[in-house]
Amino acid sequence: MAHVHYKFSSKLKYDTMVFDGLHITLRDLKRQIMDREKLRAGDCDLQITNAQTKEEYKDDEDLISKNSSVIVRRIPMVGVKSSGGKTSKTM
Amino acid sequence: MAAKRKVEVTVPAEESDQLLIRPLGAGQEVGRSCIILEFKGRKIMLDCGIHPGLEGMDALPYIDLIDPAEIDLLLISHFHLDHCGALPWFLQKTSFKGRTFMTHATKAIYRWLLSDYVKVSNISADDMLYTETDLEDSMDKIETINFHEVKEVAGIKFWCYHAGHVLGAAMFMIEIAGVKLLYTGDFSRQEDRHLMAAEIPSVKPDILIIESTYGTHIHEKREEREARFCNTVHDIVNREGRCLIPVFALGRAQELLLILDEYWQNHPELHDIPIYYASSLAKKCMAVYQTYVNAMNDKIRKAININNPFVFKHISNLKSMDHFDDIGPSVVMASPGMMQSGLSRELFESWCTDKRNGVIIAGYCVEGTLAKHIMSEPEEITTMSGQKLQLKMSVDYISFSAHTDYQQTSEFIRALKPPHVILVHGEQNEMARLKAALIREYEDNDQVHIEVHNPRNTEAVTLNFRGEKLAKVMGSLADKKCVQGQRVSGILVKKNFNYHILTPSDLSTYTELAMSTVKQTQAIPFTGPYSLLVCHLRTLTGDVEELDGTEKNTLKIFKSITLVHEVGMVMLEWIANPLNDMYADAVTTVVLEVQSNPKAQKVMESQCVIVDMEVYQARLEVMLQDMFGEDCVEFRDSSNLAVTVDGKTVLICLETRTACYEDEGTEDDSLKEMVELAVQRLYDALNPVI
Repeated sequence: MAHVHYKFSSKLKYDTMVFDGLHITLRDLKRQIMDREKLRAGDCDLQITNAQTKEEYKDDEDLISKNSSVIVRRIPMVGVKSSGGKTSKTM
Repeated sequence: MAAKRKVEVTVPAEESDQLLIRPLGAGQEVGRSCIILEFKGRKIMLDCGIHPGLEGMDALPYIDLIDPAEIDLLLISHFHLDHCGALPWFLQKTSFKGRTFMTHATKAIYRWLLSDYVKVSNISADDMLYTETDLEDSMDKIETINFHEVKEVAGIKFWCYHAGHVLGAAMFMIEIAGVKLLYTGDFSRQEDRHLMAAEIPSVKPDILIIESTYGTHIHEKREEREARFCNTVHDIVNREGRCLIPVFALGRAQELLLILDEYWQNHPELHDIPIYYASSLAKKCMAVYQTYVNAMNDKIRKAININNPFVFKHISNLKSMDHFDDIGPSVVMASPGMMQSGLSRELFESWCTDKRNGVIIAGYCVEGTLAKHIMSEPEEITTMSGQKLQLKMSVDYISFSAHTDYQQTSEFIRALKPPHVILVHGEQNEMARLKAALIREYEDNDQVHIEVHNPRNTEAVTLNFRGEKLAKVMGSLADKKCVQGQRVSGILVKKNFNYHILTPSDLSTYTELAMSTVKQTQAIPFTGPYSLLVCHLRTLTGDVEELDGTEKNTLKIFKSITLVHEVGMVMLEWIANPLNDMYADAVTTVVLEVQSNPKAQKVMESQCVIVDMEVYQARLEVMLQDMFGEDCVEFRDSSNLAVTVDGKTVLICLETRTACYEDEGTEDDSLKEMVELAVQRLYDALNPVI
């Protein structure tokens, strides 16, 4: 049972994400955080940086080791028109 | 990547000329208005709303791109959800510690409108951004401001104008270091039944941040719009249908109620058909409307004196679905305005399959909401539970949303002519069209130059403002008229962005600063003989004065250090300043030296001070004779000497050591100067060092 602690930059507290293994890929971590926080809008992306080194994880295949602390930032997806999330709303 | 920027600049933020405007929401979209303004180290947030078409964290502006703790000031323009919906979250759940301001009416309505929103929200408690408790707790942190009242926070001056649109809506004018910025929020230049039109500020801003909801559209005339609305309602009830008007409990609803009440008044055939205003908050909301009458237009203010126009004759309040007997045609106004959930959605779902019924969308709808969706007249709609229903009821769109249209926007900008215009709060295409139209308007104009920006979310607009640094000279320095090239010296006092130059003595008159003197006292243990100390002090300097009339032995050294001989010690006292401190140091050293070596030879008194005039005269004679020749020097009397060279005679007065020509008319000063210099130099050399 491995943990990664994440905190949204504007929030005050850390939350924990549980996964198996020694690392988690950036792609998986982003997906899991978006699921957990119910971020469904199609034009939103997350920027993940290491809380200690302030280094940004850029590549989807980057590995984030267990017990790390990361800072998460919601950012608009570049190149996508910011719409009202038509994809997810139940009409 | 729009990452949080840490700009490396050699200029500190306070002095920099760079002004930054960054929308975290409402940039090329409508919803979650949140604009960050940074200038001279100050950070201001304008509005903090949520996106009505999104839920949960998605609905928030991109707050992660700033540090909430660095925001000094938060200004809320009006109570619509897309301008203050995220405020309880921002105040209670982030590190924000600045001050928040809004108008009185806005604060009162904010309380109930957001409460309604929390109740009506369809998502589970865990997913809610904030609770009723958070909302209540946030109330204490919000401060209020009156229209036209000037406030100053952290060097930022701001005041607000009426914006029309809804009750209490304000346009904020912000001034930092002489640069003025006007944020309109949502505004309308057309007066309606209870609101005044937006004011045109008398002060011209350098930057205008303006809404662009309706882009290049032009609204239909008010009378036509009202007639169309009333006729549509009439038609629906005439065909035995139910008329649904989804609106938020407060805001444009009040305007529609006034219109309907008047129409019903004039049409007695409709008196049997009930109009319901479905809101559990109706009573509270109405009370607010009746309180803030001074934020409404003159017409209503006059009417209130006769009878309350908000007490309706033909409209009844409906607390919930349970109180509603759905028999026969009726008109129901229910919240929320975009039918995401709540009573308006429930009614819509129960009425949509009957073609006699009709729904009138009376406000602006945001992308992603049901209201926006049905405007495209789909065949079916999906209910909240996922069921599919046929959409047979009529859909009409008659907007009363009181936003500015192209004509009003153009007129507004023409009146203010701001050098920079930033468009926010508009769909991407509308905004682009508006930008193009505005640029075209001023394209050929040589005198007026306006730059139009339409940043996306998180994209910053950077502007440079070169301020002139002006310092006002005040007080006694200003008594004399100044001449170009004259030097003025004083103390430069900087308060926020104002500079003044004053003399130290004027400081207490014009500022809260005061000049004070610091007196230093030093006690040095001293057990040696007093006379020895005095003797040594006299070798240090000739400027030792014995003060009479004091009980203890007191000396004044260097004219500023007072030395008092007490039992077992010596007390030094002086007014602190760099020179006196240095003197005090020297005196202290002497005292300590004597103290540590009391058996030192008592120096002969006579060795000091007085320059022996006779010795001086003799030496002077020798020197002058060496310089000019033996024949040239002669003594006129005991205190005057004469030196003659090349026919010119210089008279030297020994007491003052000045030289002058015997013959007043002599022009060449070089002999006189040479002699005077030599005389003075010899005197200095023979004198003990002071």
